[in-house]
Amino acid sequence: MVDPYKVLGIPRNASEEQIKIAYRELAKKYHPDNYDKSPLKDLALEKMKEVNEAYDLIMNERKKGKRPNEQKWSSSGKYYSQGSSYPDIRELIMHNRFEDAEQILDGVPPSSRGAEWYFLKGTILYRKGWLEEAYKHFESACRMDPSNGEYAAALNQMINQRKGNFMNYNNMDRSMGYSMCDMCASFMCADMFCKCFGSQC
Amino acid sequence: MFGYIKPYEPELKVKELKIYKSVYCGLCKSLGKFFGRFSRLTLSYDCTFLTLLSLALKNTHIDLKSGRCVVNVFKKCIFCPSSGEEFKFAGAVSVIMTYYKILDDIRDSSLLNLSRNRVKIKKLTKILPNMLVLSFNFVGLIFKKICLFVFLQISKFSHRKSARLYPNVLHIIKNQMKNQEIIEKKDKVNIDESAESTGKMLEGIFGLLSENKAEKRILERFGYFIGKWVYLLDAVDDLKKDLNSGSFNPFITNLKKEPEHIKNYCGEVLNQVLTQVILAYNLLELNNFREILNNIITLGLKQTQEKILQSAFEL
Repeated sequence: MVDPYKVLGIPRNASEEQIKIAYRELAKKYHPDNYDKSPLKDLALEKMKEVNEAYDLIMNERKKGKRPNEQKWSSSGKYYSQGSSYPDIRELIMHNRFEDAEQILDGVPPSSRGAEWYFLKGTILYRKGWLEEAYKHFESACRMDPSNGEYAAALNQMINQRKGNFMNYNNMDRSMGYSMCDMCASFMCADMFCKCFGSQC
Repeated sequence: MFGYIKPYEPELKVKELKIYKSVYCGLCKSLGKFFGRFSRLTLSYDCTFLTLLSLALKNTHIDLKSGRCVVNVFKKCIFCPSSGEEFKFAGAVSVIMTYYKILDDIRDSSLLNLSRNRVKIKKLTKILPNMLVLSFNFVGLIFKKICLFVFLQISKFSHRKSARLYPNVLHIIKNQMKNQEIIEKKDKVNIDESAESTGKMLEGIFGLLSENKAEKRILERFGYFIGKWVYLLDAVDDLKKDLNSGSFNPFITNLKKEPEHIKNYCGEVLNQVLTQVILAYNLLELNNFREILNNIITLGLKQTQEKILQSAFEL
């Protein structure tokens, strides 16, 4: 059995607040949605499970049997297989048989390629690591069927990645975005407001 | 390689910087020890990263020693004594990659490229400046070629030795360089295709770092995207030069008019790859040097990318 404190990366005497913070950080890091369509998804799920178990173990230990009321993260696990025109290909993708799926997809004549075709091809390209091509295919899928939530979600995820909106960068942007002047300016503003409302600070 | 994979120093602790530098110096010393003194010239941040990563995965204890720098004898340096397999492996990768990079450069600087330039030169109206530019290019090219040949001869010894020690590394790099050549000769190449062989190259090399099946999978995906990112960033870095010389560049076919637009586009492509680098990295189980590696992956890479994007689109 792995030490649950080690899994969360916290000392044994950590406070409840620290545990929660550590848990949330890790849950964000390993969130299965981040690994949607990635070949490493199973490993991310494993990690997530480990973190969940460690958190449960620690919290239960501390609360002596009380269930933690913290809401746990889990995969949204959406599969839209009904109403699909390519159920067999979705089946292949679900079982990680990407090469077979791609072969069948490429066999579809260009004239009969609909939005779903572009989405599925995009999914395969994404997993292969051909991100730029995957992005173009998701774009096409969304253009052809703008009302489909599944296609929009895939495209949005990529748009966010392209913008660099990714967790680990937030810290740096913040530390670089504020200059001394910005700080002075905000202090001045704050000071002004204080005076406006007539307080004595 | 290119020296893109390095830490963002202001965010490193003093002790972390000390360890980073000692691994860097240790790699330099082990290059000299295993592959001959000229192989020290191939030392790079990228291979330091490779060393750190393999040390971190294997939980090897490192101790530091004080010594003197070979390049600057008056400078004292702290270094990891170079006995470990990790240093040897990273050194071999560095030597073999440099060897093939030189071969590639020699191929690139053929007289054929010069004739491609001529299309542009023709547009100038005057003949005399034309001749001047052409002869200047010609002399430059001959000089470059001679230099490259000298480098090639120098690196041959260390290349042979590392190839004998690590035939699998040689196999991976050789194959992917060949693939790259084939891809660049094609008429229409998309961005993913052009970066594929560099990605596959590092996928193979990083995969060699672990025997564990799951860990190997993560490392391969990690290496694949690191390779792609390095290739694409190098392409952005060379964009201006390649536009002038008419050499192959994956971004040239995707150019739109305004430079601001192109810059954003390149940034988006790079960010996308970088996200995947981080996602794979996050799954790795590291026993050591976690702070330094975190710094490199989450801050250093982005910092390098921003810097190059900035300078590539300056007028």
